[in-house]
Amino acid sequence: MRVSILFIVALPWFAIAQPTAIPDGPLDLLYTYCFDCHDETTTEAGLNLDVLEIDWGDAHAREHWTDIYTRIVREKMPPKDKDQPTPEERQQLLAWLDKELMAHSPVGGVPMRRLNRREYRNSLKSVFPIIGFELPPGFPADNESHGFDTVSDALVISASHLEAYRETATDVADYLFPQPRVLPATQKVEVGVDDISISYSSGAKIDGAMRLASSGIMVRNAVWLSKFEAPVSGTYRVTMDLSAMNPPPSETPVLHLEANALSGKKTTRTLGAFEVASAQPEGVAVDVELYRGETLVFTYKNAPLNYGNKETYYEFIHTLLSGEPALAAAWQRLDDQAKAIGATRGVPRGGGGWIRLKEERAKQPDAVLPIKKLEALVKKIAGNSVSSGETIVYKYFEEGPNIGIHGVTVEGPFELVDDPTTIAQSKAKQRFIGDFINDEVVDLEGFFNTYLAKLFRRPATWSEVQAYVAIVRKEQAAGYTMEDGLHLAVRTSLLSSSFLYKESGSETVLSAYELASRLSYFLTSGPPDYPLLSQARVGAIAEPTVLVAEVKRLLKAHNKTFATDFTSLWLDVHLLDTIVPDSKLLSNYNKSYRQSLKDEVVLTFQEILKKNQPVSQFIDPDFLYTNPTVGWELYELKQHSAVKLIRPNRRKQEKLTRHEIPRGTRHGGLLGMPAVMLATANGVDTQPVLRGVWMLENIIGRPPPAPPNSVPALSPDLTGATTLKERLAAHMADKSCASCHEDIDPIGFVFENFDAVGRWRTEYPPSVGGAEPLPVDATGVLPEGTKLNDVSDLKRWLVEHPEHFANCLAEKLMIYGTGRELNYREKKMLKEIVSENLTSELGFADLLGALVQSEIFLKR
Amino acid sequence: MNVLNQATSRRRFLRATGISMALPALESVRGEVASLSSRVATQAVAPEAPAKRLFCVGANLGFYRPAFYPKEVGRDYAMSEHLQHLAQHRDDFTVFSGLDHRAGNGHGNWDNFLCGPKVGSISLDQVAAEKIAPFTRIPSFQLCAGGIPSIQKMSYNRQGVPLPMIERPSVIYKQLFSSADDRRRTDYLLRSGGSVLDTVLDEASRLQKTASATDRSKLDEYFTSVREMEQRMERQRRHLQKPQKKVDYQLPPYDPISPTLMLEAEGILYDLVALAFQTDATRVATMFLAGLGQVFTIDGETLRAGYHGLSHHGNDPEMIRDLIRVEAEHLKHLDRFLSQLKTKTDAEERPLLDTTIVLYGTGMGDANRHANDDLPTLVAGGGFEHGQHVATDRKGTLAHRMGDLYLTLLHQLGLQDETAFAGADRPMSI
Repeated sequence: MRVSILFIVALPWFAIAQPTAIPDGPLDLLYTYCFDCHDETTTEAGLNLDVLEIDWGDAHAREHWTDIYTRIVREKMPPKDKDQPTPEERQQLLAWLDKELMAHSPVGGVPMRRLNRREYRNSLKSVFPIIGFELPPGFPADNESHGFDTVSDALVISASHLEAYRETATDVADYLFPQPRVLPATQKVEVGVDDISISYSSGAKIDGAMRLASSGIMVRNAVWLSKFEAPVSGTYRVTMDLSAMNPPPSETPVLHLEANALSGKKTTRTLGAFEVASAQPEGVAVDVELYRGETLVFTYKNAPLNYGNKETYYEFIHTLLSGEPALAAAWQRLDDQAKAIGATRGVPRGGGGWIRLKEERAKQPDAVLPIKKLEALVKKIAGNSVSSGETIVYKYFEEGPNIGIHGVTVEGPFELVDDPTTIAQSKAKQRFIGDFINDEVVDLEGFFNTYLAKLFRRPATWSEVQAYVAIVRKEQAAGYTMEDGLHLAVRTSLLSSSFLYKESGSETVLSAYELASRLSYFLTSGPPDYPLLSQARVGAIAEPTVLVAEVKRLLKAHNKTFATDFTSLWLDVHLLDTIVPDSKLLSNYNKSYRQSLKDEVVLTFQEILKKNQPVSQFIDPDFLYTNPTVGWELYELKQHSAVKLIRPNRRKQEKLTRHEIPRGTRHGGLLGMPAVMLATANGVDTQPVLRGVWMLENIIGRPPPAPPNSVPALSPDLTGATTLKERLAAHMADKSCASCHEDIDPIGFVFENFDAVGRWRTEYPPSVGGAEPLPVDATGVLPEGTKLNDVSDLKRWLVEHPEHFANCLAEKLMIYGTGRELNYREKKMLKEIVSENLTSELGFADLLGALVQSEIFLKR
Repeated sequence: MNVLNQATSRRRFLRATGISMALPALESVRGEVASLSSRVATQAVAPEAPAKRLFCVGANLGFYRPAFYPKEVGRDYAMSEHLQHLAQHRDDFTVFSGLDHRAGNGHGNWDNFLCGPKVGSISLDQVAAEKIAPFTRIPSFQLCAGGIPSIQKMSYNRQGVPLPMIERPSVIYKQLFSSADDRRRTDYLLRSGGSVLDTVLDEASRLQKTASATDRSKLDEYFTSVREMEQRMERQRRHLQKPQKKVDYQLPPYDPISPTLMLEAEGILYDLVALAFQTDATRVATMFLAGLGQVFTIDGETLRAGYHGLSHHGNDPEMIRDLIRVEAEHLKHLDRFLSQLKTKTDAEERPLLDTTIVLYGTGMGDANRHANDDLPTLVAGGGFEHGQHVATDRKGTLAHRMGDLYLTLLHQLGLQDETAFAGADRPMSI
C-alpha cells in the first residue's frame, strides 16, 4: 500500500537572490572600454555587456563574470589595438568584480556524484570476496570533465548504465549463490582419429593413427579431441588404443594425457603418464576428473625431437644430417634452386616440404656435402627452428620414433566433482554470509546490517535493513529458497542510489561518513576501509590531526593507486593506450615499452610524495627513473656522465632504476618526459599548439579559453622552406586568434626539440621530397613576457616562480578529489594554501594534507 | 498483482509526490542516452534507407591477391580464380582493389580493418549499430570462426573498447532461440528483479526529501533511468512470453571451436547470421575468420601445413596452391551464404540480400609480408548497382581510401548525417 508523502522543499539562499544593479563607476568603465564590441548590437564573441544589473545568485552569471575578470586582469581585454583603461581604472573594475564574486561564491556545492567505472569496480571488489573480479569489457566508460573522470557534472546516469549495473549484479549474485548443478546422463563417446585436432605440425594421420613425434609446447606439439568437452566437472573413464613405432633404444616413449579447456586456456593439468612399448595397438584405461569445458590432450612427452629448444635442436639436426648426407645434400640443392628463382625458401614449411625433400633425395641418393657446407646448412636449419621443425617432424611421423593414437573412448560423467571455480565460489559465499547464516543460525538482520553498511559506506538504517530482510522473506514465502532470496537482495542492493552515489544531502558540510568516502575515493579510488569508517563513527574524522594521520595511512597503503590514477588523468598518460608511435620513430614499441613509460611517471610522482619533497621537483628534479631501453633510445643517456646504464636487452624484462642527475638540464621532470611528450603528440609528428595548450592547462595553470569552432586545424607541412613556426605566425596576424595563440604557441615551440615520442632533436626529419632538414627553433616567450631559449629556460622559470605550477597542481588535485570545478573564491583560498606551503618551504605531502583539511575539501 | 500493474502504481506514486518524472517518449529517452557518449542514436535512421542490415567479414590472413583480383577493371571483367566460386552472384557484388587505410604494417594493425587508420577508433559496424540497434533485440553480434585470437580484435566501440567475440555456435543459438529452462530462468530474474525496484526507488525518494536543487536533477536522472530500465525489462519479458519463432535448424552436438574445425564453424556461423537476420534478432554482425596454425582437411585430404604456415608461402607455388585451396573454402561459404540471403525473406517478403550489406574483406593485404596495404575487398547486396571491379590507383593524388567506401555503406544504411569515416569524406559511387 502506498502512502503519498508531502514535503516542502527549501530553496537555497542563492536561488532567491535578486539581480543587483551595476554601480555607476564600473558601468561607466564598461561603457567606455567594452561596449564598442560587446553591446546589444555588436555582440562580438556572443558577449553582450550592455546590462544594467547582474544576478549574482546565478552560478552561470558568476562563471561568466569570472571569465571577464580573468581577461581584464591578464590584459587580454580590451584588445591591444583599442583604447586601454588606465591602471587605476583597470584596478577599479577588478576590485568591484572581486568584491561581488567573493561575496556571492559559496564554498562547495558538488551535486551528488555517481561512482565512476573505476570506483564502481573497486567498490565491488572490496565488498564481495570474489577473487579476480573484473567488469565486462563492454561496461560503459565515463565522460571526462576538466580532464577527470570524477567530476559530477559529467557523471550522468542512463538506462544503459542501469542495465550494466543489473547485469553485473546478476553475475555477482550468481557467483555467490549459484544454481544447483545437475548430473547429466552418462554418455559414452567414441572418438576416431578424424576427430583429433592437429595444430601446426603437432601430429599427422597415417594408416588410421594419429601420430605424435615431437615434444615441447602444447600448441605446436600436442593433439586434442576436437569435438569433446566435459559437460560438467565430474569423473570420466578414458580408454586409449596406443602403439609405439621404432622407439629409441634408450627410452620407452611416454604419452602424457592432459586436460585443457577446449576454448584454449593454456595451462594444462596432467592426468596421467603412460609408457607405450608395443608396436601393436594396446588398450589403456584410466579414470580421471575433468572440469567443465575441458577436453583431453595428448603429447609425446619424451620425443627426441624438440624444435622449440634451440640448443638441443641444433645437436639434433647436426646428428641427423651428418648421418644422412643424401638428405643434407637434397636440402642444400632445394635451397640453391630457390635462390636462383628468387624464392625465399627452398623447403616449404610442413609436410609438403618433407615430400619435396624425399623426392630430391631420391634423385641423388649418394650425394654428400663438403663438411663446411654441411655445417653452414645445419646452422641455417637450426636457426629457423620452428619453420624447419614443422617440416622435419614429418620424417618422424613416417619413420618413428612416434606414438600412434588409434582411438579414444570417453565415458561419463559418473559423479560430480568440485572444480577450482566451484571451490572458490563456496569459499567466497562462506566469507560473505558465513558469520550470520550457517548450519546453526540464520541472522538475516545481522547480515544485512553488516553488508549494507559496507556497501553504502555508512551504517544502514533500521528501515533499510528491514526492507532487505523482507525481500528474502517474501521470496521464501513465494516458495523459493533463502539463497534465491539473498540472490535477489544482492541484485537489488547493487542498484541502490545509496551505493551508486556519493555525497548527497542538504548540509553544506560533509557528514563524517561522506568525508570518509571522499577521502578514500580520492586517495585509493575505492571505498573507505574499516579504520576510516571507525573514525567516522566516533565523529573524529574531520579533526585535523586525524585527517592528516589518515591521509598518511591511506597513502602508505595505496601510494601506487593514487599516483597511477591521478597522473593518468592529470597528465593524460591514459592516452598512451590509444597512440601507436610511428615505427620510424620507435621500431620496438610494444606493451611493455608503453608500460615502462607509464611507470616512469608513477615512480616520479611517488618519490616526491613519499619523500615529501617540494613540488618544484616535478619540474627540475635531481633524479630520473628509467630503464636501459628508454634511457638509451629516448633519453639518449649513453654519454651522460651521471647515469650509468647497461645496454638494453630485448629479451629481458627491464626494470626502471633511479639515477641521480644534475639539475638544470633537459633531462628529468615532467617537461620532456617521454610519456608526456607522447601523450601530447599523435605518435607521428608534433603539434606545438596542442603541447602549448596542454602546458598552459596542466603545468602553468593558465588555461586558454576553448577554441572557436570555425578555425581549420593546422597540420605541419615540413616540405619546402615554410617552417611550422612561419605557418603558425599566421595566427598572430589575425587579432582574434592572436589573443589566445600569443600565449599558446610560444610555449608549444619550446617543446619542438622533443619529437613525437620525446626523443631530443635539433633538426626536423628530412622531408620526403629530399629537401635539406630544417633546424628546430625552440625559442619561445612566456605569457608575461620572459623570453625562453629552450626547455631548460622554461624549467628554470617555473622553479623560480613555483606558485604557477603549485597552484595548478593543487587545483587539479582538488577537482579530482571533490568532483567539481573550483569557483573564484575557492581558487583564491587555494592560492593562500599554496603560498603558505611555498613560503614555509614545505613539501608535496604537506600540501596534500593542507588541501584535505581545507574548507574546500570538507564541504560538499 | 502483476509487474505491469505494480509499475503503473509506482508511476502514480511518483507523480503524487511531485517528483518531476515525466514519462518520456522513447525518442527523448534515447536523447538522454546520447549525452552519455558524444553521439549515440540521437535519431532514427531514415526509414526508406535502401539497406537495413550490415554484416562485415574479416579474414585474419587476407586473401592471396593474384587469385582474388580480376585482371580487368569495370563491368566486363573475367572472373578471377577466387571469384568464380561466386559466379552465380556476379550481379550482386562489387569487387574493390587498391583500397586501404594508409596506415602502417604489422600484426597489430590488422585491427584497423573496420576502424580506419587508427586501431581502436569506433569500427564501421558499431557506427551502424548505434543507429540501428534500437530496432532490434540484440544490438550487434561479434562472431569468430576458428578460435578467438589473443591479440587480434575486430569491433571497437566508441570508447575504444574491443568487443568480445563469440566462437560457440551453441551460445549464439541460445541467444537467438533460448531453451525452455533458460527462458524460465531469465523470466524469473526479470520478474523478481522488477518487483523489488520499489525498494531502491523508496531509498532514492527518501534522499530526495533532503536534496538540494542540483541533487534533485541528479536524482531525476536516476529515476528516469530506473524507469526506462524497467520498461526494457518488461519488453524483454514480453519477448520471452511470445511463442518462439520456429526455425528448422539443427546444430551439431558439439561446438566446433577446435581450430581445425574452423571451416565447419564458419559454415554454421553463416547459417546463424542468416537466421538472426531472418528473425530480425539483430541487424548488425561481424565475423572474424581466424588464421593460426590449424591444419585443414579439405575434400578428405589433410593439408601438410597449417593455415598460417601456408600464408607465409615465400612464393613457393605448392604452398600457394594449398593456400588458395583454403581460401577457396572461405569463398564457397560466402557463396552459400549469399544464396541463403536470396532465398530467406524479410517481413515484407523481400529477399534479405536486397537490404543486407555484406562487406567481405581483411586488414591484411599480403600475409606473406605482413603488409597492410591494398586490401582485397568485396561488397555484396544492400541495394547497390553491383557487377563490377572498381580499381583504385593508390598512387593517385585523389585516390579513394577504404574509409570512403565505408562512408558509402553508412549512407546506404540511411546514416546520411555521417559526413566522414575516420577522416575519409569522399563517398564512392558504386
